[in-house]
Amino acid sequence: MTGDRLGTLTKLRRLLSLAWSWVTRLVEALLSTSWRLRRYLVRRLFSSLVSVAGVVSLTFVLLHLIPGDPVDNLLGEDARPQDKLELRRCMDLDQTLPVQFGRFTKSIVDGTLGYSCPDRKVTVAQRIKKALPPTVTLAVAAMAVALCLALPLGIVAALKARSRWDAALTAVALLGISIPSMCLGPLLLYLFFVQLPWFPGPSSEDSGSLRGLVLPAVMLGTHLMAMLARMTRSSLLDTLSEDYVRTARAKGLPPWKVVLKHAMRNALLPVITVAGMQFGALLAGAVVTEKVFARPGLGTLLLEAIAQRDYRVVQGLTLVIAVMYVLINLIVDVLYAAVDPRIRV
Amino acid sequence: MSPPSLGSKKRWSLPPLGAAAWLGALLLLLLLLIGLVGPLVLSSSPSAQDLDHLLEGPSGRHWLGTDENGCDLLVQMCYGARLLLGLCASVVSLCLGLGLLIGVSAGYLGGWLDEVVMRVIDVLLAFPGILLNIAIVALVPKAGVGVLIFALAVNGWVGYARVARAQVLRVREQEYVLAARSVGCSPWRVMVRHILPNIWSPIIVQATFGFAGVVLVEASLSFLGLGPPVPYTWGSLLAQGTTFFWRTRHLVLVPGLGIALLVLGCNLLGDGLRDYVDPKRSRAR
Repeated sequence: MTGDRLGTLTKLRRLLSLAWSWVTRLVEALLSTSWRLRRYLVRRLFSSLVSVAGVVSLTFVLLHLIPGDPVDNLLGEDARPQDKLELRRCMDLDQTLPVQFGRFTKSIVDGTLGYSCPDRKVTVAQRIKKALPPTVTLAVAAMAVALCLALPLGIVAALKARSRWDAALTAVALLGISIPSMCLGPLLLYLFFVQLPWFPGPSSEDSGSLRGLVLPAVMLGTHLMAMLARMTRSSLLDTLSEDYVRTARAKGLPPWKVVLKHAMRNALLPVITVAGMQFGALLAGAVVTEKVFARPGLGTLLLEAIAQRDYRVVQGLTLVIAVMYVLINLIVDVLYAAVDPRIRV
Repeated sequence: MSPPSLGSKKRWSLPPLGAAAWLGALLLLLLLLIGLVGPLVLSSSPSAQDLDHLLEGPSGRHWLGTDENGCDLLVQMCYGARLLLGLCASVVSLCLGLGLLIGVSAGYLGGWLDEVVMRVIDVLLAFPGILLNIAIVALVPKAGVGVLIFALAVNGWVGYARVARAQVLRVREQEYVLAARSVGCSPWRVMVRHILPNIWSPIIVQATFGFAGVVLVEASLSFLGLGPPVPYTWGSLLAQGTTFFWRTRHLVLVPGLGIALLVLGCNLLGDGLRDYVDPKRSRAR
C-alpha cells in the first residue's frame, strides 16, 4: 500500500518536473533570446490588431449596406411615427454613417458595445458576457473530445498503416468528416437519450450538468476529431520515416517510447496548430449545436438578435468572436515560434 | 518538376486515381444523375399529397416514406438534388472565378494590389466565415436565391485566391512566362494563356473540397431557418424532418444520409486528386 503510494508519488513528481522543464523552456525562449523573436511577436501583434479592425469595419459596412429598414422590421410598417422616430434615434439611424461608425467605435472603447434598443437597460457587453461561458465550455469540451479521440486513433492508424485497422479508422474518419452535424445531433439524442437513457436531453432538468455536456460536445467535436485524426496519421507517418526515429529505434528504446517521445513530439506540432486554428470554427459551429440541444450561449444570442434585427448585438458578437479567434491564432503562432526556432523569420 | 496537369490532352486515358477516388467520383455522378433524371422519371410532383399516408416510413408505395403532408420523400429528394447541386455548383463556380481573377492578378502583378488583396484575405480569414454568411442571409429583407449565392461567395473566394496566388508565385519566374513576356504579350494574355493552364490542378482539388464545404454550410443555414426558403434542398428537408424527429426518424436520416454521401464523394475524389496532383503528399498514404 505504502509502496504503491510512493510509486505514484514519484511518478507524479517526475511528471511535474517534466511539465516544469517545458514551462521554463518556453519562458526562456520567450524572454531570453533574440530580437528576432521579439520582432516577430510585435509584427504578429500588429497584424492581429489590423485583422480585428478590418473585421469590425467589414461587419459594420456590410450590416449598413444591407437594404431594408430595421425599424420597419421591428415595429411593422404601420407603427406610430413617434415610436419609429424614437427607435431610430435610439439606434443612431438618424445620424450619418461616419457618425454611426464613430459612436460604434466609442462604444467599443468604453467597453459597453452599446445598448440594445427599445429599452436601454442592458448593455450588449453584459448580454454577451452572460452568453459567453456556456459556449466556451461547450467549445472546450468539444475540443477535448476531438483531441482525446483523434490522437489515439491517428497513432494507431499510422502504426498499423495499410492494415485492416488503418482502413477501418480511415473509414471512421471519413464518416466523421461527411456526416452533417445537424443530422448527427438528433441521432445522438435518439440513441443515448431516448433509447438508452444514459445522458440528459434538452428538456431534462440536469441538461446543464457535466453529463449534459457530453452529447453536445460529441456532436460539435466529431468533425474536428475526424480532421485531426487524419492529420495525426499522415504527420506521424512522415516523422516515423525520419532519421532520428531510426536512430532511437537502433538504440534499442522500447517502441512506445520511440513513438510517444521521439516521433510524436514533432508530429504533434501541425496537429496542435490546426486544432488551435479550428477553435474559432467550433465557436461558430456552436450555433447549430445550441439549437439542436436548446442550450443557451452565443449562438442562441445571435439567432435571437437576428430575429429582432438587433444590429448592435450582431456587431458586438462579431467583434468578440473575431477577437477570440485572432487571439487564439496569435497564441498558437507564438507558442509555435517559441518551440520551433525555424519559424521565426 | 511540375505536377502533372489534370487536363493533358496528349492521349486520353483514365488518370490513375486509386479506387477510393473512383468510388467518390461514382458517388457524385450517381447523385448528379438522380438530380438530373429523377424529376423526369418520377411522375408525381414533390408537393402531391397522399393524405392516407402521413409521416410513414419507407414502404412499397413510397420508397423513402412520406412527410407530415403525405408528400413522397423520394420525389422531394430528387427535386432537392437538382436544386442543391445547381446551387452549390453556381456558388463554387462564382468563388472559383472570383478567386482566380483576384489571386492570379495579385500574384502576377504584385505591388500594392498584392498587398491589399493579402490584407483583405487576412481579415476574412480572421473570422469564422459561417457567421458572415448567417449575418448576410438573415438580415437582408425578402432575400432571394441570388442573395444566398452571394452570401456564400462573400468569403468563399478566399481559399481559391490563396492557392492561385501561391501557384502564380511558383511559376512567375519560369522561362516560358519570361519568354511570353519578352515577345510582348500583354499581362492579361500572359495570365490567361500562359500561367492559368499551368496552375489549375491544385485549384481543381480545392474546388472539390470547396463543394463539400458549400453543401454543409447550405445545410446549416437551412437548418437554422435563415435565408430564403429554397424548398426541397436536402438541408431544408433535414430541417423540416427534425421537427417531427420524436415521431419518426426517416425524415432526418434520409436527407442526412444524402448530404453525407455527397460530402463523402467530394472528399474521396478530392483526396485522390490531391495525391495525383501532388505526389509528394501521397507518400504518407
